[in-house]
Amino acid sequence: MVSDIAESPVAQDLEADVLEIVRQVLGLDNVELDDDLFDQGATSLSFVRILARIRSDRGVAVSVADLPDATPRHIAAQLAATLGGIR
Amino acid sequence: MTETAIRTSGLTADELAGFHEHGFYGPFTVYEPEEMERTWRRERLRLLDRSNAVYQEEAAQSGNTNISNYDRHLDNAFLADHIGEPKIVEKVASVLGPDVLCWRTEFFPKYPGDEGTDWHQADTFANASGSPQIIWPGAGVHFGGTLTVWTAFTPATEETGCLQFIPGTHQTMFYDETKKMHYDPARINNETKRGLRRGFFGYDYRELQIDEDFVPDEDRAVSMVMRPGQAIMFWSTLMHASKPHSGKSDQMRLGFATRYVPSSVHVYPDTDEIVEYGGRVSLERFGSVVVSGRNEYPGNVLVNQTTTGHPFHRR
Repeated sequence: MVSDIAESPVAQDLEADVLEIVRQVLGLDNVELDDDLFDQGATSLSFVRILARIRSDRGVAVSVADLPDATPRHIAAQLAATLGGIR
Repeated sequence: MTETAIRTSGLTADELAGFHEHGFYGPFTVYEPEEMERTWRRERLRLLDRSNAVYQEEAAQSGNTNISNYDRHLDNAFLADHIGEPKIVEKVASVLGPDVLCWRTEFFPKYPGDEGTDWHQADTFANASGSPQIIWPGAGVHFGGTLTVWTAFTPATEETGCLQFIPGTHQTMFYDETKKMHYDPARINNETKRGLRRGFFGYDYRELQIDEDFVPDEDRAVSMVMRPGQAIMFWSTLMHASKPHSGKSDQMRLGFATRYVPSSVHVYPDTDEIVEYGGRVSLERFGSVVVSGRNEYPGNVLVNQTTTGHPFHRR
């Protein structure tokens, strides 16, 4: 389950990586893991850039279509699930 | 909705008379605010996936051009349902008659600090591309335009840059779409007109004015303040614009426009691509959607389901 994977140390590293990408793309140092990125002013274009950076860094495309919200924590959990699914 | 409730979603005789006089009707409620907010939070994530969108070219995928905001009703199920929503289509049919096509949808985002939109009118929508996109039938048709239903997916207020209309201007064209507008994306958010930051997505709509000295009578302008889930119906030939997003709120303003014509109108005559707003896309996967009645122009290309098989509703 995504929630179980999200508890692992590997997933916590992914959270830190995703948060760093988000902060760089949005140019905001104070975005936190549970902040909804659209509420932080992310446009569709900047969101696409975030996902492109993740794909470039990690080699996988993360689907956000069914996420409960647009937070770095949930994006990282989905990334962890995606990576876990292809090993 | 019950059959009675559906049929009473149309305009009354008085409302229709008011529409014909002023060129617009509303705002009216399509979704309650909480429902709209919940729906949009879900769909804004789903819409990031463009893999089933009908326009796959760079112009659409990059997000840098308006074309990236076109026709997502052809792949997204919520938007597909929205164009056929009875609270909208009954009103549209009150004006256009029983046979109606939806030929375009567009997102109109406005972020904090974004410029307002120039005053404009559209008849054939040749304004940006130089090629008419809709042609009304019959000799002696003065001009046609489209019936646009603009739904606020987020709050549209004076501060966030709501729509403005000049009532009663829909029967006289002040712009000539056979003239040429020049595209320059460097203009975006960089021009001031009569003291207000305004533009037209990289164009200057004043280049289409029939009379170079024409100045819209802004003293007569009215603002269309809308809650999330409310909509306004207006002729594209009505003088309309929007103010800038003041930036006082960090809430972005999102409007979703659905464009309808009688099905006797020829959609995209003599063209298999759209070239405008800095982008070019092929129409090979495009189709108009019959939302009411039947198609009357044999040359119109139609679709009856989205690219993922979700059927469109027909009244």
